[in-house]
Amino acid sequence: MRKMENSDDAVVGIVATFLIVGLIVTVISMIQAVYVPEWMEQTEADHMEVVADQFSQLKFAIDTQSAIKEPNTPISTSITLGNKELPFLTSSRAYGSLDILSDECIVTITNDSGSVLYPLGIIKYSSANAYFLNQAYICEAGAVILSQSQGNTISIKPAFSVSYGYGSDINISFTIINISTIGEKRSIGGYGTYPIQTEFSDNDTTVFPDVKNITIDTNYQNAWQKFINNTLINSGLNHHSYGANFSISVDDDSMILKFTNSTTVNLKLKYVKINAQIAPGWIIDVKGVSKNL
Amino acid sequence: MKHKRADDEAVSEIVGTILLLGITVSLFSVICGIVLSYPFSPSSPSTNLVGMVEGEYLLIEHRGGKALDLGTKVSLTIGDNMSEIKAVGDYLSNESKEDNLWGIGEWFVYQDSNITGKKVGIAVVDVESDSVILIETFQGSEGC
Repeated sequence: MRKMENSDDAVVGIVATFLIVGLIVTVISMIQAVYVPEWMEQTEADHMEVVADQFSQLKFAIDTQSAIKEPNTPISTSITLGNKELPFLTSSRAYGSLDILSDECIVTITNDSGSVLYPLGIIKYSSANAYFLNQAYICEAGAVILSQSQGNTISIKPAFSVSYGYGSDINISFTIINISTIGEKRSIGGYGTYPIQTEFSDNDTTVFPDVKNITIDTNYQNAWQKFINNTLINSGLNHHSYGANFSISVDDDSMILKFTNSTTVNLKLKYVKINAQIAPGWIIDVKGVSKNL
Repeated sequence: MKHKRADDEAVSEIVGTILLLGITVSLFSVICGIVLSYPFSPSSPSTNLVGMVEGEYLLIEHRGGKALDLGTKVSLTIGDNMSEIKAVGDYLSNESKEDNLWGIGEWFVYQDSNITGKKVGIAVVDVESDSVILIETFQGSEGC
């Protein structure tokens, strides 16, 4: 029978191996626990900056089409929905979705003759980030709005201007954009870059004399309230020397701008309808019949 | 009489093993030292701030990203004067301070008639990460 002998010959090698393995595990754990979330958060924040830039291009395309009023001339811009994970270690992808939503916003103009409603469609990008806070960019009534969990703000202003001199009428010009869609290409989700095509469809200008209220039914009432309040005050309204011209209130789903009885407001409202589609394959509307190109 | 014979055959293996062990222990100690002493302080927040000067007002708007603490510092230099440190919470509206954070769409509003026509330097410092998140110099307008 063979006897087992005590021997310390290999102990040093084993200890060294354990230490090296421990060293590697420690370093990888530290990178995974501390640095990967920070890298990914920064990557997702950078991606949101890219989306902001892409929405400014989309707004530019829509404004250009509104100005030149040339039908059957689609313009493509693109939106990057998400970003990839790191090629090494463990991290998550960020996804996003892009939707064209009908009648999400309603602008109501009220004067002595009654109320006129303008239901408007919007384009909405929503992020599904894994590390950075979720944000949404919304193209609504000619404005680009940035929304996140704590609130929302107007990122790019709509065409809303006020001219006022003390003692004179207040003249407001407001261009509202209605995003409409033909066919079913109205929603997409994922993480790649996808085109969105827009095309001028129709426009109409109405002058409302002696406007009493302007109401915007929206999910982003705080953004609208701050924007309109700042614009009117910067135009000289509600000046402490001359008394109140207007008041703004918000509730759960709307912002209401009320003008005082002593104030005469004339509103020039330009309504522009823009057709939009997501994903390749442009569909044109031929006398009410959709035709896929 | 039996002679002792000099034998150096195992010396290089022993020296090699000792060196390997020494290097490993040293590296392990250094890495452990670094990891254990790592402060794990948060990184600079991803926040968009935009500053501007309008007449006698210095305005800084939070334009999205992570909400900041009300203790966030604004270092302000007007003309050749020494910097003054302001806490953001002292210059937000009451409505903006309700959630104890400086969040999206909220404005830091600082009014000082000395700003008019002078060069204004600002640096916004996040206290939590001790990092500068906005540094800018403006030329104040002459005003009306």
